[in-house]
Amino acid sequence: MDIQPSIIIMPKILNSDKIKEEDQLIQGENYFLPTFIEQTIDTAATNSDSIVNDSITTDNLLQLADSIIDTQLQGALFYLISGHGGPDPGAVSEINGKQISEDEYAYDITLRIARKIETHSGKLFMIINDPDDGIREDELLDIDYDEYCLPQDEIPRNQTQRLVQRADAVNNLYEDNRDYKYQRVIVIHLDSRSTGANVDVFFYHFPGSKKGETTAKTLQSTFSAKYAEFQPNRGYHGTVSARNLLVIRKVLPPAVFIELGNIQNEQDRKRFIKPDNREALAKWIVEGLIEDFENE
Amino acid sequence: MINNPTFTQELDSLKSIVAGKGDGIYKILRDNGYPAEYYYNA
Repeated sequence: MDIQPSIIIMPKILNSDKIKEEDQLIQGENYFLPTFIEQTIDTAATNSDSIVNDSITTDNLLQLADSIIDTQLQGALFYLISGHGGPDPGAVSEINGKQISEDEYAYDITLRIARKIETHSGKLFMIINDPDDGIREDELLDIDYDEYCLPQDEIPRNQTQRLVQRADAVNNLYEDNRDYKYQRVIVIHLDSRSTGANVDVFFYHFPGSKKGETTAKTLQSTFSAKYAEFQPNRGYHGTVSARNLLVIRKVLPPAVFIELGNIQNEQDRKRFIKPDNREALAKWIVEGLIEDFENE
Repeated sequence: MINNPTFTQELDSLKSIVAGKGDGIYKILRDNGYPAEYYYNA
């Protein structure tokens, strides 16, 4: 098969005169597929069904990725914190009578980020873990309360204790990994606002953290470029700002706090409910981290 | 049959798509290994 790199042309634009309502195709019609660079095929994504993450602990063995595809993140260390967990589900909402919660989606996306970091030879620690939830391909993720914080600690109900616990977990690991020149803490959350509030993915860094700010801006820039490329008529308005949040204030490595959208808003929900969208979000975040690492 | 500027291939999944059971052209991309960003819609 002859696949050549070329300018990406989105399929709906390419075939705009031959697509019916709800993206249905016409029998007997010919369609053009966009070309893409072969090495960008995300092979890990095609093998993601029911991968069980018993726990990602403190070693650097492949836990989620099937294989390493390159060394773009070799020498980089990430502390990944998925928001809430344990007794605290975070923001909750309801779809077709089923309750969904922020922590389950944040955890799934964080696992996908972890898998991609591994495929690029990066080292990572999942600070929050679930003993029996791996990457899930479901739209409506079941809620549970069994997440724990590294190394093996029950997550407290008290909010301040809960946040201090995960920051301490990062800092304890940092003490043993000071030889890594590039380290970042990535905190993944979903937002909860009124149902009509539509928000793009946005980023916080701790006030005065130059490295955190640079990483946040690089991630934002990556998202801006991705939206321009893959949804050229949509626009993207995600922001970068400083905010004095306990976890990103207390952790020793530079940190970025990412809000992926409003769980109460129907349009924003598509970003988390659809597994393919969760995969794309993780891909873009990791691509931004690769660029940040290369620029450091 | 799907035509592409650089390659052509038979796609069995097209039958179910035209019958209204799939997600249109995005399903073709997914079934053919395109990265998720090609059918990201949020």
